[in-house]
Amino acid sequence: MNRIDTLRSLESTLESFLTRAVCLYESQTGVCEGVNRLSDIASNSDNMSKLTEQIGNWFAEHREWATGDTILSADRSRINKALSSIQNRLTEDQNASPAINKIVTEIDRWRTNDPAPQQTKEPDRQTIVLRRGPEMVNGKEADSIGAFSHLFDRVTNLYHDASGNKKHIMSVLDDTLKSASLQRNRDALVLSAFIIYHLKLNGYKVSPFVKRLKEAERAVRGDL
Amino acid sequence: MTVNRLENPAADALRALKEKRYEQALESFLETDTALKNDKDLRLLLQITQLLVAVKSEIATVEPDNELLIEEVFSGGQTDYS
Repeated sequence: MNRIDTLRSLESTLESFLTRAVCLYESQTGVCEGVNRLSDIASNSDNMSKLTEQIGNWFAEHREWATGDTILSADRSRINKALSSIQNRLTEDQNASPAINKIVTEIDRWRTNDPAPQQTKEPDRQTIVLRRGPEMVNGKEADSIGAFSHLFDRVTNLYHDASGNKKHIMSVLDDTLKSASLQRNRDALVLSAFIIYHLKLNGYKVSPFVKRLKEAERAVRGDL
Repeated sequence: MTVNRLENPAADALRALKEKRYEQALESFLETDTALKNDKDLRLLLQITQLLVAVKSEIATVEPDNELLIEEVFSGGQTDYS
């Protein structure tokens, strides 16, 4: 690999890192803000109808990640504590309005789906023994469906990363071919072939890309 | 804190990064004093962006005749050579 190839490879790696890092940064800061907002609601609201409205808005805004499985356990614990406090306040009223009942139901649903309390309820400490079987030389052949499924997932993620801000599929293809050639990225090679076949089926002229694909294939094999 | 709720230069920087406008992202990051002091993740994004801009600059120096190799092709297999 010459100097320009090394620089191109570094460029591609840094761009890929920044794309993923920005996505991660946005999701983490969104969760952090949501948890802080919920704690504020739990501690500050004295008015019952205002509390109902605020927690309703919070669920509407944050349901997507709040019910997901990517929250840190510390954040999950803070959410659970705040929701318990709010639920206690709301259930003090014997003549609760339908809106309050709806919120209480929503909180119950969240807590039912929350895996954290189930972990803490375990009374006894359990021991899990993992046993490892003998090494299987032909393991890959036995799980060809699983292997292809993993490949497909990786290629799908790669496509999402590469197509993020592109206006045309050929710009994506150009990126994946570069990645396959310079980084010797096998997944990028597979994705490139996939896109080329898609373009061919839709009547595009693909011969220049097929030529680049063959070069990329040689690079991935280590022939270049 | 989503992108829209960050202080303006930091939000601009993240938006520029998402759109792969790295030099503009770097300029916006450098205008963001408070957020950079308080947020180590933002500082990391700034440093990686600085590195990427430097790499791109070096590529432009080493390879001045840098041409985009995408051939514009239209449906039906007809290529526009005009």
